[in-house]
Amino acid sequence: MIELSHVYKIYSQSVHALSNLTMKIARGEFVYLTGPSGAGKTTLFRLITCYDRPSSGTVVVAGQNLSTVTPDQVPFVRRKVGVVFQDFKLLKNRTSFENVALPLEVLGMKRAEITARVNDMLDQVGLRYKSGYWPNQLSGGEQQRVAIARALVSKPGLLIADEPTGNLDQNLSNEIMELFARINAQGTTVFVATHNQSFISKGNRRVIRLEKGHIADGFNRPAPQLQEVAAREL
Amino acid sequence: MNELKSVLLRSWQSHFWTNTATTGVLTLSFSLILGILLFTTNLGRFLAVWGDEIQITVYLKDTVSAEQLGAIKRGFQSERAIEGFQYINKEAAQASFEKSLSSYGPDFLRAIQGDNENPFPASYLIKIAKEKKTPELIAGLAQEFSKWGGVEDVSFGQEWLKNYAVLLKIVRLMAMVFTTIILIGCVFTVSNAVQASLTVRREEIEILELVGATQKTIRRPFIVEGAFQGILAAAVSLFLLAIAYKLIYQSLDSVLGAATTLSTLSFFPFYLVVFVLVLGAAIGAAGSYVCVARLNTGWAAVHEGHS
Ligand SMILES: Nc1ncnc2c1ncn2[C@@H]1O[C@H](COP(=O)(O)OP(=O)(O)O)[C@@H](O)[C@H]1O
Ligand SMILES: [Mg+2]
Repeated sequence: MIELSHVYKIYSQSVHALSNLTMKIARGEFVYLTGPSGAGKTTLFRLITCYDRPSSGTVVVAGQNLSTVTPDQVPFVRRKVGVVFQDFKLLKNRTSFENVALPLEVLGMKRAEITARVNDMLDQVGLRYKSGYWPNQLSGGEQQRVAIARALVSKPGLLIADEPTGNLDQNLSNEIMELFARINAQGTTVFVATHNQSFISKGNRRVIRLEKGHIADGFNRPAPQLQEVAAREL
Repeated sequence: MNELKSVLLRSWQSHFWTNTATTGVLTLSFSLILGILLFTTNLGRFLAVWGDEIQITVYLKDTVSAEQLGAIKRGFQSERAIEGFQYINKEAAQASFEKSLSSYGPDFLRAIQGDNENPFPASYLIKIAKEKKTPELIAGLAQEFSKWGGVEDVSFGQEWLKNYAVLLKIVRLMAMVFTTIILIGCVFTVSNAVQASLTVRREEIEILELVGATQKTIRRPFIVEGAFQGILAAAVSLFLLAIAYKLIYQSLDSVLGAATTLSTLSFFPFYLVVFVLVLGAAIGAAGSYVCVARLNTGWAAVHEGHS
């Protein structure tokens, strides 16, 4: 699903946000991305979502080599990836329903089908009854669930979440992670950046740890081996 | 149509003040430019009516020969700007003079006439085509005629014409200077206003990009909205100008009375009103396009330091 090969991202002489990053995430995997602030997590996600290009190296997402993507093709790459941020990024002048409908409108889908799919998606995140609410009438956890519904409503196959629980308390964070687990069980590849150690140590999930733009030693293996490493080093 | 309505409704609901400010600035600029245009065209018309009074009179020598007369006639005929000419012989000149002065009494007339010799010269009254009637052309023609054989003198209201020409020049120059200044200011303010409103919309664009909206999809609502604001501004300025025109016309009417020249004044013709509305829409759409294109480049459009 995601394949990076010798990826560098150099902002300036002194800032090497990513250096010689090589990794592979298979279809259907659930992977945590962790590491201290400034390690390059967001930079990596920006490369995967076509918000930036690597200084060198190749990034392949859903079979598409992003180095060969033209500006015209960028929107079509983004449609294959659902993205969730720490700060939700909901449109304040649209209701929950309208926010979730956005990706489908962009696809030019028919009104009736949009309504059906948005309602179904809001059901899945447990917010159908708040369809008509504006973002400022929702709690942080609810806003994040609306954002997740928006990321998934077009069935993108890959979900990327950049510290999605950073603004939420532990209970709400747990809810969000359970939602991700459910989505992953339905076949969506999930790649989540998080600081929250409880998730990383609790779940038997694969963890990639970034430090100063490098993958930390021992942190880029398939899930089973990782469990031992995590048990030893965390 | 439905989409248009929802685009406009959403935009005005959530950005009422930035939209109002942008439209207000546009309205003010349009009003000033259109006002200057209206004023100068009407002033031009007003002056043109006066200009109609101007004609060239070519006075002939008493000793003019038949060949010279023929040459003069041919000269007039070959001059394109001349629409027609009328020969006034000595007797007719005297008659018209006597008629105009008869009220002063017969004694006065006899005093001027002296002997039986008729002192009035024969002349040609020349009509210049209206569309070619410029001060420069009239002065040029008069100078040429005065060189012809058999011509005594040429008169064309020299003093008045000079003032008329200067006045027209000053008005045109002032209009040009003002329009340029306002246009420059207009471009600055509009681009600032739109820029400010775009900063507000930046988030919106960012999210649309995130969900995979194409450049076209992202830009369209902004352009629709810009066009709408441009039309709105043009319509409001035209409306305000029409009211101002009416008021000024009425006050002029009461001051000048039934002066005939007032009837030559007019507001913009219908086709120009339509043109101004279309131009307003085009300016609004173009302004929005330029600004949104700067934010939404299709690739890596949003650079947000997120760490
Ligand atoms: N647009 C940018 N220009 C210059 N430096 C940047 C930019 N974005 C991020 N960086 C730098 O790159 C490094 C990695 O940042 P980031 O990927 O945001 O880290 P993380 O998300 O892991 O906290 C940091 O040192 C950060 O200051
Ligand atoms: Mg980050």
